[in-house]
Amino acid sequence: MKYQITKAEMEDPGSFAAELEKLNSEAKRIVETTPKAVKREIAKTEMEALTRTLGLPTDGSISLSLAPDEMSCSISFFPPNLGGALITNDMVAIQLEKNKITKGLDWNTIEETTFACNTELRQFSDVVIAKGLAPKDEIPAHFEIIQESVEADSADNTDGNNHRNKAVDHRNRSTFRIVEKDDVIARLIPKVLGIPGYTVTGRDIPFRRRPNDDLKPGKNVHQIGSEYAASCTGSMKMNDKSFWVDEVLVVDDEIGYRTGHIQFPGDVIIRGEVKDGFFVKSGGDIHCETTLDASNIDCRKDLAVRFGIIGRQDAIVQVGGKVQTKFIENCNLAAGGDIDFSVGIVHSVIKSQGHIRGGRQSAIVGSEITAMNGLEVYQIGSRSGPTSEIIAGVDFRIKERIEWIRDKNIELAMKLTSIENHLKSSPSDKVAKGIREKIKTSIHELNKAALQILPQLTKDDDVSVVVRGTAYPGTSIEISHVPYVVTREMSGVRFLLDKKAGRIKVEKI
Amino acid sequence: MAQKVLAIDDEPMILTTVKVILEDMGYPVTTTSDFVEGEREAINGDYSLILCDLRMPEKNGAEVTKTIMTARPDARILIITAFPGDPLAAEAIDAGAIGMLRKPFEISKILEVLTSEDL
Repeated sequence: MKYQITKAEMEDPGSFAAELEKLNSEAKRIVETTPKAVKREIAKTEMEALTRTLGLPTDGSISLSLAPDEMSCSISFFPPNLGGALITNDMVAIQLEKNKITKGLDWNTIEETTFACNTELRQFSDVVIAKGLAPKDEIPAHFEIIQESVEADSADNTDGNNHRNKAVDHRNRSTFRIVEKDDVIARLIPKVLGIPGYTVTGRDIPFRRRPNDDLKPGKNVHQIGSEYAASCTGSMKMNDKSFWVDEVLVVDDEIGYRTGHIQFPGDVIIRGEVKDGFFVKSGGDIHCETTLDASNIDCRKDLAVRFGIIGRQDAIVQVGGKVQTKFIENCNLAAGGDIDFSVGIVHSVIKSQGHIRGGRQSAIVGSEITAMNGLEVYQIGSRSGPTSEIIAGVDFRIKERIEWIRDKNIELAMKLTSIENHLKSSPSDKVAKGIREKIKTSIHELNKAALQILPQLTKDDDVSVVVRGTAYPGTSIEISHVPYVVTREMSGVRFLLDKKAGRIKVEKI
Repeated sequence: MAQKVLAIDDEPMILTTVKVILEDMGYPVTTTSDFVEGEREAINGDYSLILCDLRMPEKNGAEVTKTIMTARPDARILIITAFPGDPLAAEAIDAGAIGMLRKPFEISKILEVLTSEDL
């Protein structure tokens, strides 16, 4: 509201006084009807503006605000007008004392702002003049694991960055890490003392103590100052309690006539090729630093291959745990855990008790895949290439046992048919009759066994097959025995089982 | 009454073995290599499950499925195929087949249908 004194009013002071009275009462009404929270903020500016308009002097003033957590305090500075009283440090000090602001005060800012406000006659809003101090947690002495990224080419990391000797949070560890003798694998980070904090009102805030992770060095680890190194070449392992190094068999050369078959109870590192006809059996993990030209591989735990797995003829790769590789080609591979591949699976039969996950641009071509917990890949099939079959939600080990029973039963059924044909012409042949009964009993026993394990076959109806790129025609997808055949190119889709309808439904992702 | 199974396939080995195995489990099996007879049986007989080959010389399994499903929409048909990605398999599923069996046959899928509670 702005009021200009007119010439008539100058000549008639009575009329001016009446107008002034009117304005004063309006100002009073504004102040009274404004909500309390807003009132404090606008009271000064509005009233000062009003009084300035009216040509009345106003004193400099301040308005103090305390944060709800009492960790900061700010002041708005309102300048004097038309010869009003200046803001003084005492005025500020009185307000601070009144609000019990005692700690973290920044008197330089207060003095500078007060001076600027008084001299420049400019308002300064919400100037922070006191800050509390947040407490710093006490961090107990703990081990930091030095991680070498063996998994640099895994499905998750296809950008080619190889972060060697990088300290990482040990909870994000890879399952497999090969270390050389005297490689530093961990360092002891000393305890960091906690520092208590305080509020601007002087209240102390105690620091917290982070729990001790209780990680301890285990076997084949020795201390060098604050660092811990491998005492032998091996595979570094860790769990929530300890880190240690398992001795491993390192095969620097190719596996062939010079080495013979490899059978080792622990982990095996292969740095060369596995020649045709030779097998590798490991009671632990197998780590292959190049391409694994697989003949016969039996790995009880995890298999990590830096490049790819190329199968030879009837090569069978059996893995108890997880598989991590770039590609799998012409291979018959069965894994008890997840399979991560970054590039592709081509002309292979792959079975997993876990989940199969392809990298950013991964493809599956001409392959038969069984993934109990589902599959995620960029592309299945191609415009002109061979088709693929994806089976999800089924335990392949149970499936294989049932199929073995079926094959035995087919053999027996054929024998039974020929014996029954024989008995048609020689009904009194007691030997044939005896054989017939034995075969029937065997078939019955096998069928009983099949029926017993049948309930374990379909594990999870909620699994899905995700194709981030394109699924090409001819791709067959089966979830918990419910089939779907892709008849046109489908992009960015998720295949799921609609249990109620007993059909596969397709969702856009 | 025991659930009956009908098998339509031009391969005698499959018909013989399916019959031996399922009858041992207590499921009477009728077999035929003639699709005309198979369709007639499927429509007129009281079969809990029909197994039908996808690639037969005179009429394919998708067409047989369509014929049966038109006359008996409640029929449960499993298609037997060597190639699950076969476009005819997709046709059979669209026509109402409830699943596919890889050749020679997958006993687990047959038993799942026969032992399912909603039959």
